[in-house]
Amino acid sequence: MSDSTYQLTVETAAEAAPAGDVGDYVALLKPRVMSLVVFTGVAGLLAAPGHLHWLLAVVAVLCIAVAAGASGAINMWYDRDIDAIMERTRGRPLPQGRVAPDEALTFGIVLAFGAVFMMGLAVNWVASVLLAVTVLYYVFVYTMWLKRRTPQNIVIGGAAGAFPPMIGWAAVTGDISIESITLFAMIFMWTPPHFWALSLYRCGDYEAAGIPMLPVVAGKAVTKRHMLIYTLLLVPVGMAPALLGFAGWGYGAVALVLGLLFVAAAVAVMRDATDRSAKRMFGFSIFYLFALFALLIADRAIGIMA
Amino acid sequence: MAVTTNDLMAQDRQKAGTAQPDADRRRQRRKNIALAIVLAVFAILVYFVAIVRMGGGG
Repeated sequence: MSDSTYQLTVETAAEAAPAGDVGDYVALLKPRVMSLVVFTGVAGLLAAPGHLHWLLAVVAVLCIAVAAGASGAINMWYDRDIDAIMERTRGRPLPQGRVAPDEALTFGIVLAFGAVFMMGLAVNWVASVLLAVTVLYYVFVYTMWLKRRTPQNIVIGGAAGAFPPMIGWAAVTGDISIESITLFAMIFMWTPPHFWALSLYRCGDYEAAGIPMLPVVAGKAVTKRHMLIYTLLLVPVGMAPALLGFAGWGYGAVALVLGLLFVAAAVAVMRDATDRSAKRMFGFSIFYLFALFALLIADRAIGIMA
Repeated sequence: MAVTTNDLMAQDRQKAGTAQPDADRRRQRRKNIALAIVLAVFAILVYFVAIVRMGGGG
């Protein structure tokens, strides 16, 4: 190596050396997204019939959380170019240059493998396979394939976010049943109105980054119509645990009321020319999902106590 | 006088040892401690999981 080449290498490395702190690696795990994933995973675990040693239940939840975080890190690695354009994401560690892309990718892959194998060894291999499918689906199907290609990205890609309660359920029972598929369906149907509400008031961001979100491709009116359709379909799906008999009628009644409130929010969005109703609906959608899964946990706890 | 590659590397080693900004070193130290904690927790977890699994608690 010549002196000049060596000098250049040293200078380039010094300039490119990422100044990432522990917090940046935590940010790569998308902790806010992780909280909802963990909550629904815990709900699946607690709502499932059967018994799992408390330590193994903790490991199962930890594996779900780590795998979700790993998916987030790989997603940030792949999307670093568009994250730098969007206002909502430009402060992330990769666009800011605080973490090197290779480091983020390695971090994500190591955590994903660790979580999947730990789930298999400590809990069971059905839950482990479901966890692996979730990570692979989120990374390859949603992030790499659908996100930049079709306005149906979050409809099909939403399945990745719907797996956690199914994984929690499988951790206890070791199988996939109609009940766990119902929990999957609840999140699957909830995802489109939730994300489209966000994209309605962030559509400038998505347009600038070239992401074909529905409001960008088809316009706000079409998006609002789709939101209403999915919200209407969500009402019976949200009540399905009561209809199928694995939750009580108290759950069913509250699910109906919350579902109708969600529909009312979607109608308000259709009538509102501003972004105010969309922001309100986005907030309500998070409350809706938290409330339904909290009710499922409560219903199960009451059932056990009775 | 010509400066050789070895001289440059020696200078860099010296810089790394003495002239590294305190903030960088503190940051690296925090990362090392965080990693050590994660590994220690992981090892303890594997130990107890093995006991539970062998005891038929799973």
